[in-house]
Amino acid sequence: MSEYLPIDPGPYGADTDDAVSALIDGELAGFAADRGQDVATVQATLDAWGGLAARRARLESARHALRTPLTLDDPTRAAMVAAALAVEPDAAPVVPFTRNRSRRTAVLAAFGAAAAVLLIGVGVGTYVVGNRSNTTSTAERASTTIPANGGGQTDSGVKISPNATGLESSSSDTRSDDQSASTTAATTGRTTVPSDTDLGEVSDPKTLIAKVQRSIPAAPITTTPGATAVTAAPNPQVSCASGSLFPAGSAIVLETTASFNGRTAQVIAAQLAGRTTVYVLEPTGCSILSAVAF
Amino acid sequence: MAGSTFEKSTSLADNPFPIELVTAARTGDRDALNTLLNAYANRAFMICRRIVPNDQDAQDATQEALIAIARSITRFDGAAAFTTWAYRITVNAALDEVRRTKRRPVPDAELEPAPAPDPTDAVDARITLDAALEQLLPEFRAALVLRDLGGLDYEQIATMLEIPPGTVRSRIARGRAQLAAALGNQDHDDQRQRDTP
Repeated sequence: MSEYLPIDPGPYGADTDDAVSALIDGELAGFAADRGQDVATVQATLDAWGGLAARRARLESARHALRTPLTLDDPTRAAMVAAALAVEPDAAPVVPFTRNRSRRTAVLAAFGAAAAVLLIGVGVGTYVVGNRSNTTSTAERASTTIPANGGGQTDSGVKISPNATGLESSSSDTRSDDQSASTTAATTGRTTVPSDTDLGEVSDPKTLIAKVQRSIPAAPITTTPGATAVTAAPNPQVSCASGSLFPAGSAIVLETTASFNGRTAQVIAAQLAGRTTVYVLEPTGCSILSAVAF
Repeated sequence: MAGSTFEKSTSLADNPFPIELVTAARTGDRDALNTLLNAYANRAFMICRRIVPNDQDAQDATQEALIAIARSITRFDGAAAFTTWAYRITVNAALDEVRRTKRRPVPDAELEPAPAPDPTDAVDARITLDAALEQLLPEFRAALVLRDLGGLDYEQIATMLEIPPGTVRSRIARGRAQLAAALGNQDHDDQRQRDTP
């Protein structure tokens, strides 16, 4: 059985917490001024109150709990800093913080690149030859349905039908199960990367690193020419532009799909100076779900 | 790059942001900016994590804050301390993330009730703090974080959040009281519960 007892409201009633909290913070002057008193009077009033020590301890306990240290692990921090450094300083005033400007830019650039590829495809006929190097991603090398068209920067072996709607549909078509991937291929006429090349669940950073390490091919897919340049995504399921994520000179070594806490995601990895940075991105908005570096 | 060349500070008393470093970053020195961001990242995460209720969203907010700092560092005029300027960006990023999270559909798995926390376990203790923080309005969390993690005075917080200093004082006091109550320190709450035989 419980019994509720009223607490001592203190000398300032409902405002007593305000007074004690201000006392803790050394901000008693404002409280006193608002009440038309001087600091000494407020201080004396509080000191004369028998409940001050307990009330103060209670409020300070919250302060103490809030200050419990939290740290980012080194790979995550490094990946975040790398992403931030890839953004060029902006001379224009952007004081109202706009979150997705860089992402919007990246998505728009990627969309433009994909649209260009599609236009070429319409002009040539049924097939579109993608723009990529002769080194394929692990996903595509594992595919048995994509012909091995080695050589040059122009042949990915990715077949895209003239009615494919480009990057947005590519993104929305992304699935993590075999049946969905097959269905997508059947309905759009596009040869998709088999789902067994999907990295699977990567919400755990250690798992992500392990899977990426196993999946990175021997040579990079492409190299970012500049900090803000965007490379065409060689994997048709990867709609998020990779070039803008990494510092100039980074070599994109992996672009594939995965699941992040059960949600479809894209994984893009790049190497610079022997260090690999990996981003897990939400495919439609390209927002960063996770990032690691190793 | 990660590791020992910079200070990974989470303490609020120390200052890993010397004016020379900030000035160099402002004037386009990318190495200086790299050092500055690495030094600030943990602090940014700590602020975001106390405002945003889970690790992943807090990391998103931290990322956005770091990007915003990198983008606008050349326009930091030095009128305020670097940390004050950076905290403003960071808190805005965190509050943006909270607003975004509210609009996002919640997967079924996240609707399942969490197991009862064991206060002896550090992880569970953190979950308890998270749950306690979630009971506060984001604006209260922001004021608390800016005071107790950022070390800003009420006037600075008022300017940053564009509210009167008296409102800052009230939010901090009420936030602390609610947090203490939610964490189980209820012996001085509005009503005190006492077990009787």
